[in-house]
Amino acid sequence: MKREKLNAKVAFDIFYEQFKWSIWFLGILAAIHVSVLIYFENSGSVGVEPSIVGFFEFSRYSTAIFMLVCGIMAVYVFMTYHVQQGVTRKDAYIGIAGGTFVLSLFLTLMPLMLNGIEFLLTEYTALPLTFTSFGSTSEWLKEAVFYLLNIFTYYMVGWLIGVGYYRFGWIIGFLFIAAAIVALTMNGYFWGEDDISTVIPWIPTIQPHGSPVISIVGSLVLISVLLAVMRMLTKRMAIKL
Amino acid sequence: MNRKIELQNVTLRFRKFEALKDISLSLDANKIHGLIGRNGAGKTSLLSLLAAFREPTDGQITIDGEPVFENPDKMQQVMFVYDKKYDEEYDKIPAMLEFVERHRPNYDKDYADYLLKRFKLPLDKSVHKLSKGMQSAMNAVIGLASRAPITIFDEAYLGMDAPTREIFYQEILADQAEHPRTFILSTHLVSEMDYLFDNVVIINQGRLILNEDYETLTARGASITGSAEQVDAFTSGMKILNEQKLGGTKKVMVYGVLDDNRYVNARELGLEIGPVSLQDLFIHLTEEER
Repeated sequence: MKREKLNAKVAFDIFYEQFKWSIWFLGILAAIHVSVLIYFENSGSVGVEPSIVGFFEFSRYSTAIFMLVCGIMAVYVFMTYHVQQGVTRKDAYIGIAGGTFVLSLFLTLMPLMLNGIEFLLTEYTALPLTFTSFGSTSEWLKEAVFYLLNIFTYYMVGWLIGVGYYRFGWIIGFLFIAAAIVALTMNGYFWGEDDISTVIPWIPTIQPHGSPVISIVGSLVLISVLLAVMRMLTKRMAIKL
Repeated sequence: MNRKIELQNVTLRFRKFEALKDISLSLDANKIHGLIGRNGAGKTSLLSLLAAFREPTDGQITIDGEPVFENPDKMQQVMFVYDKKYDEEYDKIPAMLEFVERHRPNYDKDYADYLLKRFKLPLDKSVHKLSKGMQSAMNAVIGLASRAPITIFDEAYLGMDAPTREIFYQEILADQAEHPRTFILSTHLVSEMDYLFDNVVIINQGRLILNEDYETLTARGASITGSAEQVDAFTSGMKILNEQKLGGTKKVMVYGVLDDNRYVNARELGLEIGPVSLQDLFIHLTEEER
């Protein structure tokens, strides 16, 4: 069997498995969102249309946490099963990273699409709801890229925690949680969310509405570091029976 | 390709504990190898190295001269079936088998279906709901139907009832005859499985005790059956492994090769000489190590 084909197969399998989980997740999240909308509709005072966040904004943190949890399970579910079926750690690693990237794309596009549908519905029907607007196209694109990189980073961080616990047990596992918090803080910093400069004075503050280039480059560097660390941690890892 | 497995000075250490100590051995292709050892002897450790689940601390493990660890071609040839926990496995058997099929090029679906019927396994239940014996039977199906050139069963019979184990053993022999491949069966149920083995590897406390073909091994001793007095007289001074007495008849297992004179002598006395049982040899050989 061709090596490249095997990589793609493993990546597809891993994407598909997590895709099935994500359908559940999105379904439940959408149901919650709709309930919130109904609640707002009923509680809105007469004559004033409440302005609320669309599904895209609504789902941001939940999706990140969903990805974190998937990442934590990755080593337990995907690594073990694949090595038992004769797939190398390297192929499983590439499969997890690749499959998850595709999943991140899916989980960025779906909320965007749902948000678009919501927007169209309020525009062209008489629903008494107004969603906060995205603003310009560039703002919109930036948000989508942020969303994508953010959820992918959360998965990587989850994967890091999972491998930490899997390999080293719960005491050293805590150190991995510490590392995970550092990574997520940096991630927030690059996107102008966490203001580390209040903690470490010499670090310049990144303006939330500044140049997206710094944010994207910073985020990509962080992802690359995480990917490299994961490869190192899983390269010669023993599989538990 | 002959798919010969070779271990050279393999040592496996967990911190200070040495699970395997300087093991060198080679296993011929297309034979059924029995790996026997007492609890904690290092059977599972040895097999998990063969399957590239972990790396040896020292030494090398090769298949046809190539190291196994992280070698995609070699890893694909090895199927390691062990007593896996399925407490969290919500998939059903067909989904589990589909995954095996995707990754094992020699997987035979018809054979798997046949085995599922033979083991009477339910296809509509989540795997975590199956009994231990059924989960083991499913493992047996996975290993057999994968037709992996090197198929390892590590105490795969756990929880199976006697008739199920019998089906399992029969299927190993039947499939080996039709589709020769290398089987490694680890066990401590020696007396029940000894007839399966072409070759026997015994390890004890992490060390290799022996690696011999079954015939040579069982010629290392003998069973002597006859009237109690004559058997006692004949075996005096020999290393006795086991004795059974039924009325005036006695059967004694001895360790040591009998020369031709002894055979003639035994025949004159009307004593019956047979091969020693692997079980008795195993007990003897692993006791001596203490």
